[in-house]
Amino acid sequence: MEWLSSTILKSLWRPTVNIVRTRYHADKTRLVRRYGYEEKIWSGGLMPRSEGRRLPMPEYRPLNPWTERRALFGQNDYIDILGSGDLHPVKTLYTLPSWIKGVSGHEYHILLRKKKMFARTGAPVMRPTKWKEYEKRLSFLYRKLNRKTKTGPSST
Amino acid sequence: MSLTLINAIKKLHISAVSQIRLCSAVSNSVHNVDNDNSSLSVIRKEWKFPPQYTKPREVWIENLDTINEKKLGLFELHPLVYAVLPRIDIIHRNVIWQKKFRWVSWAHTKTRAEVSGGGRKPWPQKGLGRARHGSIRSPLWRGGGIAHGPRSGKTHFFMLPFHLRIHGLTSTLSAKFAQDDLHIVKDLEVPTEDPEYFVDLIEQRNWGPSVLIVDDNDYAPRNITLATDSLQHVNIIPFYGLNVYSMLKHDTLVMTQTAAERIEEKILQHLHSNTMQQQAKFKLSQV
Amino acid sequence: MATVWRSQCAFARFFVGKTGRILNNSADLGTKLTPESISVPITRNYSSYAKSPLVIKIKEQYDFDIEKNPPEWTYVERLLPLEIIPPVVPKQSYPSGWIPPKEEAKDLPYFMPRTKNHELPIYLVITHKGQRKITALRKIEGDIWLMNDLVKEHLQKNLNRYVETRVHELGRFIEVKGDYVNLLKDWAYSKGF
Repeated sequence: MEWLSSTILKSLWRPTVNIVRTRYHADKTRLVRRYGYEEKIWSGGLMPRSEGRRLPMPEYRPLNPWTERRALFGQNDYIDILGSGDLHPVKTLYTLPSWIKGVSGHEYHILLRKKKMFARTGAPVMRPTKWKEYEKRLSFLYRKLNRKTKTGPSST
Repeated sequence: MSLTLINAIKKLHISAVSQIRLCSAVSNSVHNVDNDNSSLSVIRKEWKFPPQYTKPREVWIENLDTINEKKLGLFELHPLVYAVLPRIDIIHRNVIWQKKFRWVSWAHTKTRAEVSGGGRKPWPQKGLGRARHGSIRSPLWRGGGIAHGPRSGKTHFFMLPFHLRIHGLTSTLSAKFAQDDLHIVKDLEVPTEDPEYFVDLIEQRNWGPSVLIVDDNDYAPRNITLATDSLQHVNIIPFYGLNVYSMLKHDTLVMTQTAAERIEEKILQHLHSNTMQQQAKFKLSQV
Repeated sequence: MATVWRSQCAFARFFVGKTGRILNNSADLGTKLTPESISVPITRNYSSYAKSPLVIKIKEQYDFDIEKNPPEWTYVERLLPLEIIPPVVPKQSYPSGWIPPKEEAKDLPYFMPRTKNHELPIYLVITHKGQRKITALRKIEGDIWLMNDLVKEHLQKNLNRYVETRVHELGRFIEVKGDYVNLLKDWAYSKGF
């Protein structure tokens, strides 16, 4: 009897089965760490960028090799040979300050000469901080060169 | 045996070359003389120091008053100035000297002593678990001084020996002359002050593009100065302003006849006089 | 700072004179000095091109007249330094032993001109603390390789051994290994250089 009723029920009632997959792990809400924080450091690659986009390459501006200064570079450098003989090429270095014209030497030599030449002008009174720095640097270099380093070729 | 054979070959080669040159020179001159033999002036120079072995170099005197080249005459150049073997190494040393002797580097950084502040110890030496520091201007700190940075007024000055500079001038002049980049003109008289005229002239004569014009005095004629004023690559300098760098920078060297003579005269004077004073070591007190 | 203090002291002593140099006074003097108390004359820097004054005619210091006297001027000219090294005056014989160059040398395929001092450009170059001696023949014109062969041949004949040479074609010189200056000078004289 039971068997009969169950078979009838089975043949008459056929509900549509909808299989639902529960994706627990996939659907669970995750903890968003540092929510609302914006990373300030760019990690998108090389090249300078602004807001994630690459900056345009700077426009190539070739310099003019024939400006007056470049076109006439070196004029009068042989004036002691081709000129009348009373002018030395060092004298024609008009753009350089007088205390460095034709001077060769390292920092101590040049600073010593500069200070010596500035001492007779108003520089010590007009620019006391600069003057103090010259003296400070000179005394430092004097101690370095004379007391802390060896001169001449090394003994080894 | 092999040495003599090589020598024989060399001799053959040299003689062959000279013959070819002779032939070409002859044909050239004949051709030009046919064109206008009436106005051609051939100048044989009386030298103060006559060339001994090498023959003086002959050069055409050209004109500037027409666009097409006209040969006005022949002119002789001294071989000691215009026909030495060009030493490229000496030319290079000259250019390096010209660049360096005026070069002063003004790059400057402040040391820890010069950056303001930093006198106080930032935090105690012990007990904080922090690194030990004595000054906030130490080179390790941001905004601190620079250790071993460039210091202002670094010069690269040196003087090239006097005769090396003369040799540089003669080498460059000879190289320019041998490469047909040295032209002698009678004077700098130009009919117009239009730059177009000069551009056409340079184009027509296959000069340049850049041209260095050497005059014998400070004041060039009015028309040529106005014509070349807007052309940046055409420059006029007096003969005493001549130098190796400019000669190499400009493709063609155009000299007036007097300028070429004055340069020759000055250099020959130095080559035949006592130059102990000029050869002496450069002293700062001498300038 | 010590250097500054000392220099000020010296400056002050210089101004004060003898009394300042007495030991007791001088030490006291140095400490009291301030930069303002020393008046340093501020001079203009005329070595700068932009600030330099224009050229003006200097007032003549002495009165003088200009007169032209060519016969007497020759005596003045004798005292002036020579502008060029004077050319050789041809003579029958030269007591100094100097040998003049010959004209027929110019017909050779190679040539060695005299220097501006009318000497042969043959030198001894000693390097490596005297360990290396090289005879240099400079200023050669013409066929330098032919001259090199002839020099080699001449040395071989005289010394009965092979002598090493080096030719710098562009620099126009030959270098001979060893000190053969006199031998080569004699050879050059015989060629007429």
